Amino acid sequence: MTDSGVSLARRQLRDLEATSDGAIQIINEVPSSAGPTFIVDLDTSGIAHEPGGIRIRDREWFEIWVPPGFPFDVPSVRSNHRRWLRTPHVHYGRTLCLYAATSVEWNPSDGMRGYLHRLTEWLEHAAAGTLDPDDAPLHPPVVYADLQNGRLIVHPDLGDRAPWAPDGSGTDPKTTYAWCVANGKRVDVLEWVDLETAKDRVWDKDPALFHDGHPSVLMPAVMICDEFGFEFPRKAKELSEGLTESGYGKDQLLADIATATVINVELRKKQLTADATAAGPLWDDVDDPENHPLLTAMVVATPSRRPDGTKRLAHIAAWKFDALGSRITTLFSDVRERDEKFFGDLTESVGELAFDWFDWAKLQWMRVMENRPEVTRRRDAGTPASWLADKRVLVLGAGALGGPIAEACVRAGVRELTVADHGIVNPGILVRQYFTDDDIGQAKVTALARRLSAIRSDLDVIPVPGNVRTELFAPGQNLAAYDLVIDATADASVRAAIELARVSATHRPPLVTMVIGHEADRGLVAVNLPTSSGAGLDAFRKVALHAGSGAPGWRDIMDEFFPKTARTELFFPEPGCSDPTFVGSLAQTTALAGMLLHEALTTLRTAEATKNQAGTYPTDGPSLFASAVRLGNASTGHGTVREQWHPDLVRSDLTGAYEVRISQEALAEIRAEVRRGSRIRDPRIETGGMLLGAFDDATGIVNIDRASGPPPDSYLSEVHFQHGIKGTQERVDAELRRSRSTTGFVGFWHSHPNSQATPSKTDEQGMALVVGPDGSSQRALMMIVGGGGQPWADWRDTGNGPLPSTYLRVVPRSAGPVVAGHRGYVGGLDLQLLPPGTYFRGDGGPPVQVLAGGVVRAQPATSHRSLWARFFGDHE
Amino acid sequence: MTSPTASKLAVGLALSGGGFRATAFGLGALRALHDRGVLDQVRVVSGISGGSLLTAMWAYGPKSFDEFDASVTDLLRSGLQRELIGRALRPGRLARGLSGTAGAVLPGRFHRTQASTRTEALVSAIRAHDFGSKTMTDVTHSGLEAIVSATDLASGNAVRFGSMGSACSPYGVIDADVPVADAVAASAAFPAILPQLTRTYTFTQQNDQSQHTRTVLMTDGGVYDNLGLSPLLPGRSKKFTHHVYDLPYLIAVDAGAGRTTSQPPDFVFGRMKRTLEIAHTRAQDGTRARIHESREAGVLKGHVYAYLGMQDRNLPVPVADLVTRDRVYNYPTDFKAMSAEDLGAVAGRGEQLTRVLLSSYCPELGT
Repeated sequence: MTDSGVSLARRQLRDLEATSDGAIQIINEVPSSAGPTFIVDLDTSGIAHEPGGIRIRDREWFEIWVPPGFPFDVPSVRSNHRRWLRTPHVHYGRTLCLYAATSVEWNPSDGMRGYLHRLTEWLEHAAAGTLDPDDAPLHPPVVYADLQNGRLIVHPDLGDRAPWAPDGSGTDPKTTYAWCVANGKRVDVLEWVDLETAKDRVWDKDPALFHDGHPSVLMPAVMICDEFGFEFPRKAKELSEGLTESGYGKDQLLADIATATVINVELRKKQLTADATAAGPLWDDVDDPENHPLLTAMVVATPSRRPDGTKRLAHIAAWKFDALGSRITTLFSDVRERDEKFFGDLTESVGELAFDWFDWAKLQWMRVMENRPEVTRRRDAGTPASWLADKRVLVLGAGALGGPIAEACVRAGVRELTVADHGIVNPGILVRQYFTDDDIGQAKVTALARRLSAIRSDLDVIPVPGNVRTELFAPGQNLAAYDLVIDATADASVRAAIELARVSATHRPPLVTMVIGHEADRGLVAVNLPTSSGAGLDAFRKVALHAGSGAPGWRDIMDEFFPKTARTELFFPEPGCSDPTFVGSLAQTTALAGMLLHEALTTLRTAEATKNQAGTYPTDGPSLFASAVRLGNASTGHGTVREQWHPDLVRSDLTGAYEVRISQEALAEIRAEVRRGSRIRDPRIETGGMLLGAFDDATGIVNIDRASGPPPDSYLSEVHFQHGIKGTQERVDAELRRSRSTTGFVGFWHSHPNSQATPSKTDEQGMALVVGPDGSSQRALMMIVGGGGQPWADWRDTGNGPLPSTYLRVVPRSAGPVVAGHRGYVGGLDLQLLPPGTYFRGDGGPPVQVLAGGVVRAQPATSHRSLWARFFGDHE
Repeated sequence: MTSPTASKLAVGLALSGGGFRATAFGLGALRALHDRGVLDQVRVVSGISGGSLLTAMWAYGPKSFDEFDASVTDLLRSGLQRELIGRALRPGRLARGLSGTAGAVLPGRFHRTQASTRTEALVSAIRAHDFGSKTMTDVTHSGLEAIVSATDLASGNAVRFGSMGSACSPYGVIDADVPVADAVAASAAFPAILPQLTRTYTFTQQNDQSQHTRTVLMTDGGVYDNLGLSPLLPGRSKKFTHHVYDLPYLIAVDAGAGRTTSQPPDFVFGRMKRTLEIAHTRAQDGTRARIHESREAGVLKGHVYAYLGMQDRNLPVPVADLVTRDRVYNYPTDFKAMSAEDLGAVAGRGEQLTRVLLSSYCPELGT
């Protein structure tokens, strides 16, 4: 014990006394080896009393105990009377509970002045009745709850078993039984059962002797309709008297204990027979261990106020009997079990013995640790992680990202978790992955699943070693078994496999795809909702296009994840043919994993709120979300940036070999061109342009990201569209450059404003040999948009409703040079073959005459619209 | 294809000053916005001078875009100048307005009677058109707000005429529904060409609701902000201005020619005009930087800056039949009739730049 802390307190108190003008008087100092107690007389006059508050006299005496560790340890204060017994925040009749959490509320620098200030505030609130009512005072006093008496972890809700009304009123106590499992001094309540159920379990042919290799044990639980006041008795006598007052008599108490003891003795016998090792040693030293239960303990539940809500929920306390008490109750149960006719007197005398013991026995309170949902609040309640609760999750990758993410899923309360990875633990990864030396050489998922399964008693993590692509994402695989798939492999093949699998999947769980940068200071995460037209591969394409457009906050993401040239300085941590990886510490990878998961869950939780009544996501909302996150050193002024996309229009091409995905942006550009053509030429004139995007032969997907309009040297009429070449190569080159080759030439589109989108004879001819600008695949996509009539006009003018009619066909491409008039250029129309007639050009100028043989003649200068009207009749 | 989030894609549109060059360039931009379906997403349009003319013709003009387009084309082709001179030269008006040009820059000549200047002639000329006969609250398109800005010569502040109300921050809110013709004429009264417009309004101060009557002398809104952007910029306080909007997207249509070299003018009005040009260019550099910063800071979701004077090589993607900067940048900023070729070129460049920049930087608009 250091005297300095106490001296400081004494000096501070005396200073306060000297300057308080009589408001503070130190009456006495009572020394003790545990630190002195100062008797202090405080002027408490003028504190306003409100109904429900405590009564405070004009002066009150307080006993302030100063611990030797002061000011780093907090003093405690008691009143010198018991007038405030059974009021909130008064423990043991006299101890005032000033602080709910000293670690944040107590500031050592404030010293005794701060302490008395707090006391005054407490008195004011207590007098006004405004101290927050909560259940804290009803917890069994810590000093009595000895860990040696065991810990009781309560899992199941008591709920409707409680005999009291929601406001706590009621008269009749009720007994139920706690079905428990004991592991050393830890006892877990697994279930509340009635007596018949408990008996059945023990006397069953296949009795429930063990749970997870640990012995079962039964505890009677009495629920009384009275609060205990604000403290728990130290002696069995006081407890028993209290229970009697509440209608639970001593004989009933003894009978319930005896009943449970009979069952527990039987359990113990069977456990010893079945597996003596697993049955474990008795808790108490007794003479006749073979006829003794594992332990004798009892639960008492009382209605308790809650800080939130008005419904009274059970507060649970439990005490265990000491060796003697246990022996007496066992004896009592033993004699009671025999025929009462012969042993009536004995029963009575043993009963009396038990009652006598009650009178002088001390209570051994167990430490109750609440895990009941009804009285506990999850520490992640209300956070995005709560979205994971009760979900079935598949995590791909068990490494630097997958490991922490899988663990986060377990802790967030997923119902099922499957982890998949083909890797094994090698020594090098211990630097940043949560494996141990013992795990080296094992499959990562096996080691991970073992570790994660130990976190929660109710969850066994399922490991899937081996190839993610063939094991889980073969085409036709049923993904209905998961509510969420997280791809943390950072593996392009896996991304492609998932992309392909989702094309044909009937069930598409939300998909999260994440990668981190080569220096582990940036991360990228995408979330595809079930309504999304693509998966992770598609998501990353869209991110590349967005980042390539120079969007603020995304430029460094472009350089990091979509570099101009592939990174050549790969990092091979081990000799030989190991996978290249990145340099980064555990702090970095774990931080990024957490940030990326948090982003994904934030998105998923927000999207959850948009679900319609049938529980599905809306089809007309955004369905793809991406976020880029950064650690501090990579921050460019942007920490986290987010972007979202609506689903593409998905169609199959005519051959069925390709899925064509047309972005909303491309559709908007096509519509804009159609409107422009209608505005500057005539609504009946076809128009068209290039489709910019990419062919992916691995997945059979054609992405159309953008669409262009007709080059100035195009020919446009009511029945023909011949795409020009002026500026096309430049445009494609610019797109390739901007998007780092994400998007290039994929084909041509043109409109059929007067008919369905079916190819005309000249279209068919043209498709036989399409030539396009360089830089893409050996195929081209022909797209016709059309419809005619009102649906077409509505789509064009208002944008309401879907594109009336589309025709999509992948055709081979000629490898020829792109030159003007090349036969086989889009539409297949070499100018020579262009039927004679009047044509608009793509430049918006007046129409021209094309004569037989490809001779072009300008029209006489006049308003091109009126000229057109002369040829085709006035359409309005 | 109108997405449910369309309401979130609210767009602010600013149409800069610069005589008919601005009107024609802006018309081209509006064509591109119309084609792309973005015009329906414009919640606020703000115009200055030549841009205010276009702002008024669209906001208070016919519902149909084609009719609107035709009305602007007709006006640009026929010109305001002659109509203006014709009205100003009527006897009586001539006598009182002889020194109209000088009046704007000469202190002590502020208190001139109404209906005596060539700017008043402009008011009459505008009022002769359908859109000019309306008042500021009378916007044609539902959900659209219009702002036309002039500069108050006395306080140096902007006078904002708006469909939501009109105000000048040092004086308060104008208790009248201002005629569109007055607003446009005031906004277009370029000091080198036209005298100030004088109007007497009753103002209500926002802080104490006190009322007072004051005569304001207004000149071209471009003196204060030639882009029309300032009422649309994010981060404005309601405390200081009546016009605060939450617009995630900004489209600025700027008919400025950029830095040009020209012979130093050797007469007084030429010098003044040149001085104004330099001041504008400098101020616009600042506004452009501010938009860019707002975008970088994420306050703006996106912006398009269609700038007549932009260097062609800076286009994000090449345009095959681009109307080059050289073709149009020295087109004058007056209100004289435009030839079909010049109109086609200036409007064509406006349309091309707007279309390309929109597709490249805000592809989500109009989806």
